[in-house]
Amino acid sequence: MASRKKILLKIIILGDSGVGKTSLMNQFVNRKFSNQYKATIGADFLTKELQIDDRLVTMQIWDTAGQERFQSLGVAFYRGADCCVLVMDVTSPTSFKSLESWKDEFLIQAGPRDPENFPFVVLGNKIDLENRMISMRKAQSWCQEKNNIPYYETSAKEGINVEKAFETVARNALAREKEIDQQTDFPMPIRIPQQEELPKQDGCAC
Amino acid sequence: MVDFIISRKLTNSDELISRLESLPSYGNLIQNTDEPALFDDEQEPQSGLIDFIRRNSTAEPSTIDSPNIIGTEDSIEDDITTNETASTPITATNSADELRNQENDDNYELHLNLLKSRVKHLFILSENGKPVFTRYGDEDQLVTLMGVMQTLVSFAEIAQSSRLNYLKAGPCRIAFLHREPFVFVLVTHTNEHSMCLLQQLTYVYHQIISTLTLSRIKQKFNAQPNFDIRRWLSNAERKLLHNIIDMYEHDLGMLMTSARCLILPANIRGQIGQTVAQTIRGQQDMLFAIILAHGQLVSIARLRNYHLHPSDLYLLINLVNSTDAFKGVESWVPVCLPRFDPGGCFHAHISYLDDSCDVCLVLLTVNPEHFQILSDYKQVIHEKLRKQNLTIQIKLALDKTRLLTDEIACSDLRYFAYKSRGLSQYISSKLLQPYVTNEQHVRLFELIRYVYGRLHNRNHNLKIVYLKAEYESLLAWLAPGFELHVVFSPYATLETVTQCTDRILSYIKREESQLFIIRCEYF
Repeated sequence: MASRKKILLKIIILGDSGVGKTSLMNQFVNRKFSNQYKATIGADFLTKELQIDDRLVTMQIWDTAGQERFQSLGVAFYRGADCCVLVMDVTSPTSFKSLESWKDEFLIQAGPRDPENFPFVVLGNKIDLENRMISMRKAQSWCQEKNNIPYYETSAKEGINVEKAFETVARNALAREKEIDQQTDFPMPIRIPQQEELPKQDGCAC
Repeated sequence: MVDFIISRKLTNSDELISRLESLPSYGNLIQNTDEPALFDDEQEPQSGLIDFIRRNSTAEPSTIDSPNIIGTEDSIEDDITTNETASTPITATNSADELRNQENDDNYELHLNLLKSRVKHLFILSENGKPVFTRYGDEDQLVTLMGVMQTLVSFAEIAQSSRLNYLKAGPCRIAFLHREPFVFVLVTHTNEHSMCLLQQLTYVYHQIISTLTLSRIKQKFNAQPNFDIRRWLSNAERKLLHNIIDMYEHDLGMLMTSARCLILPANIRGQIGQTVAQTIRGQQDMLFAIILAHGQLVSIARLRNYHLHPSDLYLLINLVNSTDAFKGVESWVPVCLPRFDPGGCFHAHISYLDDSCDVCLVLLTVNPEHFQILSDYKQVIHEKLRKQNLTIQIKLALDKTRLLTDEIACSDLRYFAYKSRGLSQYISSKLLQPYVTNEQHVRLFELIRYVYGRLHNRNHNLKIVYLKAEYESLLAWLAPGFELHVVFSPYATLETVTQCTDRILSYIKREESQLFIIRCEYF
């Protein structure tokens, strides 16, 4: 089993509508910010390559729609994710409260093995705004309770901490990848069919 | 490719049908042989069959019958429903402008152009939207596109029992096949029937599980849903995928799911088959012994009651042809034949019977411990065939170029392919001018696949399709015992078509015993 030079990571961005998921992604991938708000319809994809130590990593970023009406895709979107980024708006207490349900939703839908240790990263976005409602301490303590999820305060508009946050996302996903790789793949046992499962004895004349 | 002019169907098509059906040669052919079929192209794949055989290999094999159920899950549906999801709520990807900042800008542009070109694209992705394979380019550059494709498929499947099969986007047609845990996508600009597009995707699906085994793949994805399956696909496995796609474009046997035999006198073939069968007789773990020469079937011997599906035979041919590594040594390769049992593995002993590596022997067993036993068989078979001069006979037959069109002698005839439906075998004439270039070869076969699709469309229940295209005329005829595809010059008259078809059918009737494997050899 040759190890590939490039690692592909599937990253899901979740959070309430309007917290800045698409802006964060655009800032990270294109270093651009647009003040216009465009509701994401269904899903949006961007790809970015990163160098993490000696590994070249391709991040496949799945930006999902925050609106309820696009929630039906669930499983199809979340399956096989390597890391999940939860985003809230520090000026919106509701978006902070929702983090819990986004996290649960993800774990239910994606059903990762060992959900306790699945890599999440929480981003508190829009710190450039004046009317902040969620303090850094409050957010951090929530993250600590949840098995020490890394927390970053970001501004997609000013480009603050965005790069750093996504690098952590990649690192944590890589670390988990390594961990899983070290578990050996046992060859599967040969399954002997039960009596009821025997091939049917009908038909063929030859 | 702009050479296609939509069919001017013969106004007197009824006349053509009645003329063809009243040919004396037609009457001779329809009552086909009652011999047990060599292949079974309606065989239902059975998961766990190999384990079952392994466990019961000491028991009497006659107690097991492969079920012969018509209409398998894998059979190709004629009436492909077009699920209009063109308005799917997705923002595909950002415009090229926004991606200017990317470091690998040039690469991206290159790939964008590649995607726009009119080549036939084939992509494989896993259900989680990660790239697995692309026919052209580098799938690392297509990460975004693969996500979009996964989303398209998922959107269609939100509605219970709904599936995305097919999309039309301008001149381009996109076929989808979702087989857990993969999604296969084909993009084409040709007129091939959608049934054929689906068939190509199914071959690719079978190829991938033939190398990796379905149960093993599924188990891995269950344990590790984010697994990047490319780690299991080395260059050798990728080459197999490339080859099976190329092979389909150049081979009508894969289209008609029928095997192609080396033309060989019946007595010689009989001796070869009996020699192989006698050598192996009594061995219950072995299922098939196949001799191939340049991708053509020389002989096949098998355990009673077990059939090889022609599409599985093509996977074996692809395997044998994929590498020179099998030459000069005896190889021992695990291989899954998905139409036999997608959940289990055969072990194939692959070797050559002559020094120049033209004649290949493939022995298939369910017992992974039997290398030595099979290796001994090979030695014995090799010796016996050599002593009886049979290996030389095979090589002589290989060297003899049979055009077939010459033997039929009809000036407007350019090419024909005849499938015996009872035997699941086919024979075709050699491609001559103007079809000797790769481009023309592929173009002609695309045209034949278009006609094939029309002929087999279940909604229409046609017997005959006659197509007058710009550069050639094509006749496709589906009769109870056979299927015939003939290519004529565009000027062929109804008279010529009838006469020439008569000659082809008479010729095949006369030469049947050397064109096909009529007798089945059992261990």
